Amino acid sequence: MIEHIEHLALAGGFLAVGLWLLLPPGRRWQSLAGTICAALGIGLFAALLPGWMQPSQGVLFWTLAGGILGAAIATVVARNPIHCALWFALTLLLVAVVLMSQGALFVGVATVVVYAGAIVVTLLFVLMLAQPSGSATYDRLSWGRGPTAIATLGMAAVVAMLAAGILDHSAASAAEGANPLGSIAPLGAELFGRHILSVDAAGVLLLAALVGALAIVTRSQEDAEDESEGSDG
Amino acid sequence: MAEHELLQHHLTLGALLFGLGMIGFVVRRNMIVMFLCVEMMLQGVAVTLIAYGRFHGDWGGQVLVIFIIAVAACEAGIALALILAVARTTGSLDIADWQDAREEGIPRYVDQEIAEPSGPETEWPSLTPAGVEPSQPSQEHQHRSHI
Repeated sequence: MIEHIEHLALAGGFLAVGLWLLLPPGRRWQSLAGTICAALGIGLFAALLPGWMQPSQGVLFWTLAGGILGAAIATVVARNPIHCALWFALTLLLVAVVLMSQGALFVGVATVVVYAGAIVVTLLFVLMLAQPSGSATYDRLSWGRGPTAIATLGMAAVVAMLAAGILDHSAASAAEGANPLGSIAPLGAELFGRHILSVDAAGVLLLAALVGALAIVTRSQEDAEDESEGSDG
Repeated sequence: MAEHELLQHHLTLGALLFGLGMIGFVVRRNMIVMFLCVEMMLQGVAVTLIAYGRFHGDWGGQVLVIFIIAVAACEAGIALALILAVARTTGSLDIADWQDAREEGIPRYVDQEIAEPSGPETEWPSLTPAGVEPSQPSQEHQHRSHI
């Protein structure tokens, strides 16, 4: 511990300052600054735990996994669909951290940028457009106890089967070589070298999806206008 | 060995994410929440692919996840356009409104009747309105001041 004395002093200092700011009486800026300082202090203390910073140890992974599962359960369970979208954004951020800890840096950043930054935002726009104000009936009810029970039991059975199959596996296929997959240039070389046709096909798919979405939206607007004109005339 | 254990942990996490997404897709009635659960299933698959890619030292896992992200973006655009077009006809995001959509000539078969919420147990008394009616703000029905 002696070689970590500066680390300990910094962590203790942050925690002390945060605690002092949080104690009453305090104004709002003091409680906000105090929370940030206390969180920094706790984080610095936690970083001293052995195995926290190395990805091969399980501590970081299990913390992230617990957070992911909690956020995923909150996504499925939340009554207000906007809360669902926000919990799903948190799930995405934590999954991106897990992906990055496995060496997939570009994929983690792409997950944050494309999923949390574009898809969830578009979803929120659609929710603002189509969701009735106040909570709707179909948000407070699910399909009833029967389908819920069947789905939950089925999922539990599938996951138990998977876990049993994984744990019984007797390490037959060992890792040939743990290549450090952290660099992005070899990923680019692989993507645009070996899979160049798939990349082109994905580009064409994006264009087709764009045109299709536009066609759907303009056709539905024309139908709505035709209906309103037909009822007036 | 540690690598194998780590792979097992990641596969379990991916399976749980996929299973939770599947449960949410089957159980929820809001179309947009169902779509969110589909995206969660895709995230579970991405975690599994990246774990296997690192375990075998193969780039194919990451490449496939990049393609999955691109396909998910296309699917999101089309699915949201469809949901908006469909919700405009019925006025709600409920999937139960569409559960007896079928081809012509096929008899109606509904998995489960829509579970309606029970009405209010007590009828509260109401007063006759009196006094001057307050002037309504004219922009209220053109913009939503609340979510």
